[in-house]
Amino acid sequence: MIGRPVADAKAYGREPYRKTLDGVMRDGFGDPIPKDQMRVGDAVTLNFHRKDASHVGILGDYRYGGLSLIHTYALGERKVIEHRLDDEWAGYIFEVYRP
Amino acid sequence: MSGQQIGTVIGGAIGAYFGGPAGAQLGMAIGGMIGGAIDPTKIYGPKIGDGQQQTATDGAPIAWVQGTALVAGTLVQVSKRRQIRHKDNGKGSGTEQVTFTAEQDFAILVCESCELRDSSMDSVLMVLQDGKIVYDVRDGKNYGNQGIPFNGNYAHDVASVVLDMSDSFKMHCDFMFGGEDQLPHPTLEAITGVGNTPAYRGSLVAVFKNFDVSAAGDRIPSF
Repeated sequence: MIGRPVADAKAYGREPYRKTLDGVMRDGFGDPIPKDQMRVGDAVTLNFHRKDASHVGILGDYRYGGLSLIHTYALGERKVIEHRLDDEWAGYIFEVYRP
Repeated sequence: MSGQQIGTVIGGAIGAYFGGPAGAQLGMAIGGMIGGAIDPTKIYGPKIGDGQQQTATDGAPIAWVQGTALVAGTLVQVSKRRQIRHKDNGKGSGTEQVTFTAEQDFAILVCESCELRDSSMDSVLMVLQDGKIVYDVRDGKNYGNQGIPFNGNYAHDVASVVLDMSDSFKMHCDFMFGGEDQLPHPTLEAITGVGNTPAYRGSLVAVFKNFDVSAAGDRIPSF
């Protein structure tokens, strides 16, 4: 989906351990770009009420204008979901990576 | 009847036949032990079930409010109920406690709030949950955190603020005031998908996110 080979992480923990997720993202995409430059197709890490990134999503093209977020979300319907990136969800974005 | 009870009766009968009253007592004890081992008594704690919920009715009228009024809402969208596991390691006591709560997303259509019909609602002043006030921003009420207005986003500093009742309620509820440029709520889009979710323009809708239904009697409470 993002046009890059993705290394399989066999030891996927329930919680990211000591910025492991940040390391994997940097290895794959390089350094993050500023949040105000994010656009469709970027990969983003999110953090919910914590210091480090704990979740990953892809920015999509929202059909009514603006950006959407495509991700799997255990607290939602337990499947891949897409929804509008509103201010609350934009606030959860931790870092933005350009593939 | 459990295995222990059946074993007690059978053991007592056999013991009485061979050893009289004393034999009956011994037989009951042995029979109870054997019966209990074969078919132990099981005690099930409460599970997350489907309690009575606030329901939606086909053809229910949408309230049209002038001024301020207390109106009951209609449930218009509901997500699946999901079980959340909480683990408490007991802080070194050696006892680990695992508890479960249930959360759900849902939307309640409150009343008409339409720019085209000049019936737009400005704000929601008070919310009652099962008859108890859970949100109150009327004049003179102590809303917010020592006068700091709530900006709707506690993503980065949730631990650093003390929440009052209305703030706590607002963390799990968004009000959509039905503007003509209103877009579908992300929480509802996560349930039914982009393109399949109404924006509810022209209506005042309360969207509840990650609402703890187990704390509200294992059901969606009445609002």
